[in-house]
Amino acid sequence: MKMNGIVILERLKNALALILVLMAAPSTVAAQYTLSGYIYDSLDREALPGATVQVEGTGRGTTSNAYGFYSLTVAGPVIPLRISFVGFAPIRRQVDLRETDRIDFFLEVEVLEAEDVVVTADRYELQEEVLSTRMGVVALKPSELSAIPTIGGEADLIKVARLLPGVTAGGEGGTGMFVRGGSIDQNLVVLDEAPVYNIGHLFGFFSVFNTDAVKDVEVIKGGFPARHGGRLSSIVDVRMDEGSAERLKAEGGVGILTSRLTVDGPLIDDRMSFMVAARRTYIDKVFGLFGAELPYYFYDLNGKLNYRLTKNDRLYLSTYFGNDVLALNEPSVSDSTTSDDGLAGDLDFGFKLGNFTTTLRWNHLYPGNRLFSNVTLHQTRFKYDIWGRFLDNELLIRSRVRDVGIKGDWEYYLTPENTLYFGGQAIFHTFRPNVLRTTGEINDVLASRPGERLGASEWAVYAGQNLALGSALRVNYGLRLTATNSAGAWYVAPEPRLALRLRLGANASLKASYSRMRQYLHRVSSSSVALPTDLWYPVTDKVKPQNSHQVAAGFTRAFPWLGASLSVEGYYKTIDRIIEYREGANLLLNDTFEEELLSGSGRSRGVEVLLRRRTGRWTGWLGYALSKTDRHFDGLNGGRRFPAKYDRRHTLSLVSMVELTPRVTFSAVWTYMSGAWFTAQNGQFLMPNASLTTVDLVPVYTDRNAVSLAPSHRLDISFIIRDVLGGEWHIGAYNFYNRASPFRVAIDHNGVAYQYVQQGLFGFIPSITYNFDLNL
Amino acid sequence: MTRWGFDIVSKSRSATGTYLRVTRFLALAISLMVLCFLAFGCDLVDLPIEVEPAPSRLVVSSVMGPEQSLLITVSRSFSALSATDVDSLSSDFINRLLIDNAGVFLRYGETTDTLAHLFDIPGLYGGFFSELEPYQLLDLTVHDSLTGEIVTATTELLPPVALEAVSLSEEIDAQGDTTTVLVYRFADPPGENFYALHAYNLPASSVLDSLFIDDEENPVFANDEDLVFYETLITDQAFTDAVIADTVRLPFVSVNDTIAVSLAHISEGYFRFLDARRRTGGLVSSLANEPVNHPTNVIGGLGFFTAHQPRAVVVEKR
Repeated sequence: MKMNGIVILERLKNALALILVLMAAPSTVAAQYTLSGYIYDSLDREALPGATVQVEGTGRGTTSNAYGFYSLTVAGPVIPLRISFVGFAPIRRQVDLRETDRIDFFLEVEVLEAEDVVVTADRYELQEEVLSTRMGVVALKPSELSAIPTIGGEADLIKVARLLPGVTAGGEGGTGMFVRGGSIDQNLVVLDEAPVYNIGHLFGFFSVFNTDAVKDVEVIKGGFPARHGGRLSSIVDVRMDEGSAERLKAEGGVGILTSRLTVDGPLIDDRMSFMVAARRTYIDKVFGLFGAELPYYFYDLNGKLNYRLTKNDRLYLSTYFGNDVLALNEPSVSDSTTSDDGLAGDLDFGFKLGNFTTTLRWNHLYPGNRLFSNVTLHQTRFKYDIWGRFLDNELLIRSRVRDVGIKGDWEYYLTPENTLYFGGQAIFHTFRPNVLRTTGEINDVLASRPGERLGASEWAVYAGQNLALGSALRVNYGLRLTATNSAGAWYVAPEPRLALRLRLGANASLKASYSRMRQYLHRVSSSSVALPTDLWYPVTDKVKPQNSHQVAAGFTRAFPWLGASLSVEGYYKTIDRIIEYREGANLLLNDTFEEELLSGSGRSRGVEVLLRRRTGRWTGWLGYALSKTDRHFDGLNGGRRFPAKYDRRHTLSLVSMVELTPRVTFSAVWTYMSGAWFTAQNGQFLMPNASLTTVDLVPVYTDRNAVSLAPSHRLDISFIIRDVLGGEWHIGAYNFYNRASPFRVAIDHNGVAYQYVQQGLFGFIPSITYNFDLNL
Repeated sequence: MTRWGFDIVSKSRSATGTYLRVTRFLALAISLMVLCFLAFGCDLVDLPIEVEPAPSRLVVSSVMGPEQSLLITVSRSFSALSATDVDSLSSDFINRLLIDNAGVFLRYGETTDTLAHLFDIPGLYGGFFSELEPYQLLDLTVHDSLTGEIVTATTELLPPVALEAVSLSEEIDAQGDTTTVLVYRFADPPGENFYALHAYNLPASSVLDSLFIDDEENPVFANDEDLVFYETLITDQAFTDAVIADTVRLPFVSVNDTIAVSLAHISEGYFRFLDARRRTGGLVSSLANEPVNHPTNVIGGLGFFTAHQPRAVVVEKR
């Protein structure tokens, strides 16, 4: 639907106002006292999101938000409170609300034995999982990320996220994610609210996120609240560590592939803290020692400042900068691709690609202690340069994506049973793909071009309410209105969201949700796998916004005596206007790529089971998903439905971390995935060509994605040994029993016939990493 | 997060020594691990993929020659998988693919003719159809008497379109490099039309000779693959006038060369077929592009039944 821009903005504004009025109407509660504050880790005074504040004996309570803030409005005036968080000793306190309306709580890591830090079961945390309306959401902590074995001993949050049911991988090694039948470009990964376009180093073998600099990660697969949007299939919300406000410390690690160092601590007592993290590979240096040349490396830099302006105001400034560099020689071409500087200098071959994000956030608590806001300014830049020289020919391919955005989120804690949330967002995208500069004879084939500069803006306003309707039923509903302006046209859509929870006793609940999502960007790849060099484009007249509808229903059960929870979710998702490439499409340096794209639909349905234990000596999870995903395009496969490439029927992951002794932890991950699908050439015929000068061998293929690849399974193990200095040795093995996990389909072609095999990339690979944590 | 720390300030001297020892140990450990990484990694057994071979089907192709002669080849498709008996395109193997016991029938208007098996060449059938009118529909039926398979196809006899002007010229680009350019022009009949334009090096043996050359060692590919150096498909959608005039760059041709240029007025279906061939023809395309199943107008079979009549002109060297 195309509309005038001003009309659209007016409508968005009016709709938001109306929604808020309607939502506030039922909030006539006899509450008189409001208590609010932040919940911190006492050791570093870093905020603890997701901590529980309960009025003991009433079942009423709230949880801290992403910034550790809570607000609790009760009849009072004297209430017994219990504040708890997984891994920390709970605090019990009698609070007289006539004396104070503001308390910050500092939770201490729970110590059960003299030298033994054990995370204890907390039934309140489990109950919150049961009582919340949220579904399809999994939170991951750095302690889990670092304990799970990965290749080269390099902790990788994206690879850990793929161990969750409903999140599947592409080929071995890559960081591509496919969530509930979605495509790889339907995942929005944000780092402190800034979108990250390229989430992998070394073409996806390593995540760009240095887990030392990560505070927590949330993966949302369904039941999206109205505050989230922008992509159809998932939101991966990564938050950077804020830096300790209590002590100056350094932590890091030395591994076979990378080394890391993070320093954080207070800058101004009680006011400001900082965190700086750096990571770099040194495989290039190691090869250099043996006289071999492998001029590849990647590096990351993370930084964050956390400043408390006033009692009610906080500022956070964070940034990420990282690059992959393969440089026999870097280009000396000027940045102006339209200049006549040429490609002077000593060029050979190389590439450089990377992200740069910056976020400035302002938390504000309004008078009354019930209304909390977070306003974010963010920018993201993703770019790549590929250069090469052969004889007198020189080539530079360049692409740029830049986002500048503003986002505001408000949470209004009316009562523990009634929370309003609302906000808005604007992102301004600039794309400059396919910049090409050539000199020499290659210019006859690939002529230089400045690359088209494309602009688009995305807008959204939303409002929602999380409301208890009696003791058993809770509803979280909302509406997100989104719009984009691209190529002079406006596209607008409402995105209703609904989540219901029906409590079944103290430890069980039924949940259901509906989400409509809309996506205004799409990713165009020149190959069938996702590469960092893939290009992002806004919607156009020919490539319309993608939409999805997802309904889900599930059962959640807590087992407090075990410290475990079980969730079983079924979902059905449809996607329309999904894009796929026309058969034989050539997208390499193709500015008219729209002609090569087809628009179609997809659907996915499945059941996911997650049995998770987060407390005790033995933690981990069992995740299983049964799913089926297919696609339909009029112009593909004769108009018949076909399986999505990564439609994996069964996925199973067993993640286990066992504390064998106070100094030794053993962790193991076993994964099983049904095979992906591919299109094979299984026939051929001879036919005179059109010029009548020869005879062509014309291929005959199976139906699209009609051939199932072999299932893959793999065991990774790791021992974590704590030494007397307080450091940790991570000694592990990737692919313990050395079975190929398919990385690609290899084709053996003897000139006439083909033989297909799946090749794995990594066999048994031992690793060792030393991690340290020092007070400075 | 579990944190294990020690106070480096109060133990600075011993810590310095510890750091040195740890650093040395780590350097040794890392070197060993990198060696292990290189020694043990990546040694894997490939996993087989079970692919069912495509069923063998009748393949039809056609050529319109001078005086509205029509040549039809009938053959069979075959497996592309190594597990089958296909390991080379030997003469014996190709002879087994060609069908010489087929009944080939052409119906046009109220008339149905049987095409003759020509020249004792397996799989080749033909006849003269001088009474055919432009835009007349032609229905082809092929019956394999051995297997009983029947395939059918329909096409339209499109009138030939001749090039009105063809020449070679030189173009100098911004870098001062000279490229030869083919300039052509022809009249575009009313309606939506599609064309295939080919440029050939000359001198060359006759096209049909090259196609059916009898070379025992490599009977099909014996002809000079460099014979055609340029091929393009043209649709009149990009042209508003009744005349199509355009240029194409021929980087490997000199204006002093003599070339032949042919133009064929083809159906949209055949245009799509050739477009699919073009998209999958090169090395880059075969690696980077999605697979293409070629369109066909042969019901029950493969290939393409077309009745276009190319017209060629020779461009003499300057």
